[in-house]
Amino acid sequence: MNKQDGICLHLSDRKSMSYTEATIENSVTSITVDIADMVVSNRPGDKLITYSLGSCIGLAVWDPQVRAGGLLHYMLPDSSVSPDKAKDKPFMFADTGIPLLFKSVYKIGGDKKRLIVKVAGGSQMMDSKGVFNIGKRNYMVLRKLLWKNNVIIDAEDVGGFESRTMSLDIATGLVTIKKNKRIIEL
Amino acid sequence: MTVEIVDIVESVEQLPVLPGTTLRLINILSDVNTSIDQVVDAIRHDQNLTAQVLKLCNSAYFGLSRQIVSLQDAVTYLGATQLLQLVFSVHCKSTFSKNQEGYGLLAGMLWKHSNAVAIASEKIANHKNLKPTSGLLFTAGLLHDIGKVILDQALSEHYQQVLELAETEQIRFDEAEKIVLGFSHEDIGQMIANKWQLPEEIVATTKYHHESENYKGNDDQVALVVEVVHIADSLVMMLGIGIGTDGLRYRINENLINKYELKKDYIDRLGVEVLASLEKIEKLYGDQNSGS
Repeated sequence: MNKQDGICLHLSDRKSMSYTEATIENSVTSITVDIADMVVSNRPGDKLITYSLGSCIGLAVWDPQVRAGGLLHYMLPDSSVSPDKAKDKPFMFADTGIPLLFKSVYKIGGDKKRLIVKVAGGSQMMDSKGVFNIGKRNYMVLRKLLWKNNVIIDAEDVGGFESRTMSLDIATGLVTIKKNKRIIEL
Repeated sequence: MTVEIVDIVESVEQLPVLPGTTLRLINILSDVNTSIDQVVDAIRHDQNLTAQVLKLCNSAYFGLSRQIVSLQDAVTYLGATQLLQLVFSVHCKSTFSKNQEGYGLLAGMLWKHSNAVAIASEKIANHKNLKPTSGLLFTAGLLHDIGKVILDQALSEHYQQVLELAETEQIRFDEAEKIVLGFSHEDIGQMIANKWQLPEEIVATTKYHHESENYKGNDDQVALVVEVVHIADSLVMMLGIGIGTDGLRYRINENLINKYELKKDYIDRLGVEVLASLEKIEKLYGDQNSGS
């Protein structure tokens, strides 16, 4: 029996933050990352997956040396619209969720210099401008935050009108995007 | 008519009628002059629903200090929106909750989307202090996409064609549905709403929720419900709550942004609130197996 040991940290909110030590057989375990949620893992059999990215952003980071990574699905750019909610659900917002994703991946062995960063989502409705362009605002905040911290985006599939499903395979770092019923590798 | 169009029309005709209690409650709760007695009267003949209403009221969720035993008290306590939520989850959830291959919606996703739009619609109306009967707005929000339930099968066979047309012509997904399949999901929604003899506000919402500017009737309340659900639907789609392979290929009526004083911060806060309310409902009525 080929067993895989490691840590999978599922943080839907701060209160329920818990480390699970898992030992599972050699098969892929799909772990769903909900809206306003994040999961990090260094368990080789884990595949993190998030559905229905509209104007929300999916951010996947992965360290090829220690094979640890995480996937974040945030909904809005700025936590200042609801500071209380941000305490409860930091992964709802870019400004609170993104730093926490990186920190959590460092905790399980990831190193900033090695991280591969991939982005998907940020769609918009047709001709939408201003107020309703949440997708663009979500993406701009991400770019700004990463730039300030000297982090480069390695690959991205953002914008357009599609709904996307994004997954990160912890063993290989493979990121896939499913949109318009087709799967592409990012 | 092509064979498929005949099939679609037949599917609508074969759709079960809305349970009598549900229909009566929608109509009663849509009327501003409704009395509690009328509501109680509509429910008490349905034993199952009566039991559910009392059970909900006495659930830990509400944490009441005394037990509620009369239907009258329960109805008064719950109010129109909670009652409709309950009625729909008892009688209609299964219709919405099937896996929809055409639209790429996993089981439960359309139900989740519909609830989110219903919640957002009420919140937008409150924000502007608009008071169409709340039951009406909630129901219109909940049923706006009902046409997708029927159109799904035809779409699953022609999805690539519809998608390609929408992309090359830069038209909305529902416009492409109409050209390729003969009907858009709004056309089907309108047929269902008519078949179920729902109030005009709901019929018009199923038909015009992606093009509120094309509602040409002169009833202000109908126009209001159509517009509010249009805004709510646009927001919920953007947030990715139960969106499918049609994605965000729809347009927002930008004129409504000024009319309803929709500022950036308000829209974002509304998103936060809708997600929170949705989570509460899911806890109350059982988890949905769905994406987010």
